[in-house]
Amino acid sequence: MKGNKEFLSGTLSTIILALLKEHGRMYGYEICQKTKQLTDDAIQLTEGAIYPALHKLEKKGFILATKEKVNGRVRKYYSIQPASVSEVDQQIKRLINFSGHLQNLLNPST
Amino acid sequence: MNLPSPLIDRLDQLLRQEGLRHPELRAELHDHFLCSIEEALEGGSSLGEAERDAITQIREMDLKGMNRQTFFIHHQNSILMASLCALLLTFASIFTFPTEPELVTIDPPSLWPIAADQHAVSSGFGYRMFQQKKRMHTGIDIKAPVGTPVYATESGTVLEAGFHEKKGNYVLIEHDSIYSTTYYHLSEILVKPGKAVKMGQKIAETGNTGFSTAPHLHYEVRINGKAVDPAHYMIDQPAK
Repeated sequence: MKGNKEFLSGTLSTIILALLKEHGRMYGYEICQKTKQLTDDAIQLTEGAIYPALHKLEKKGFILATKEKVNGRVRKYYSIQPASVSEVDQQIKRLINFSGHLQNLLNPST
Repeated sequence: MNLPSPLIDRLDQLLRQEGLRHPELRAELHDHFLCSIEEALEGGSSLGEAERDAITQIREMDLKGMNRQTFFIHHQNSILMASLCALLLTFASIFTFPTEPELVTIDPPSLWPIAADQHAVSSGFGYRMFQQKKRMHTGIDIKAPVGTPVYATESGTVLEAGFHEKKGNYVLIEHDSIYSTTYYHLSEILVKPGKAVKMGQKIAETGNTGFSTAPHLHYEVRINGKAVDPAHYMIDQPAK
């Protein structure tokens, strides 16, 4: 998360939810790589942040985990819990809204 | 292409040594670093370089802290409760009993409850029409002749085992603080409430008891008591 750590701490779980919503089913490494790729390396999620965040979302019931054997080892895939889709949508919308306000605040001339 | 198994073992061993005791988390990070090695190989690195990079990265991480954090997420309530008790004990006496909480695994159930394939699923999870009404079907129905062995889909403790007017002979197993599974319409129950069961252990035989019109097994997976689609969890076939 180099340098952006403090900005990410409140938004990481929503970023994860948005990625899962867009791509369906993902595993931890894939989420890290996707984020790096989509932000031209500006946002790099660390293992130390992403896995506890995933476990927290699973515990809260927002996402569910499935396991699959890939290349001889078990891989844990996460996807949005179908019953939580509308709640997840709400949360993503709130963050988009918030980031719009942030832009106005930080860059008032535009 | 699979990575050499000594390398796979070495990496798991290193994660253990570095203090990652949570089995679920360790399996995930193991996969994570094996992925990064595979990617480095695709990018032209040698196996040796890729492994060295992964090892350096692992050594630089605060795995003990991550382990603690994950443990806390899954057992928040019991830890808070334990801290409160410990605090009271400290006040009550000069003797305290420092104990480390035992590590509990959170493992989603991953077996099919009976040896069957997708064709045997006669009704899936979700809304279905029943007597001209839209009704939620909270599990999955798998056709099976009476007497087919039913297996525990993950290790756990039998919470309920008995007869219910609608469920028929049924078993409810609690696996951990999150997951539980249920098995309905059984002919024979082979376990008792309070007893521990192992993943893949035969716990019952299928039947046609309770509210059932043909021999089948109704199987549910619950997260914190709320039914979810078992199809996401039925990965491996039980060993015969």
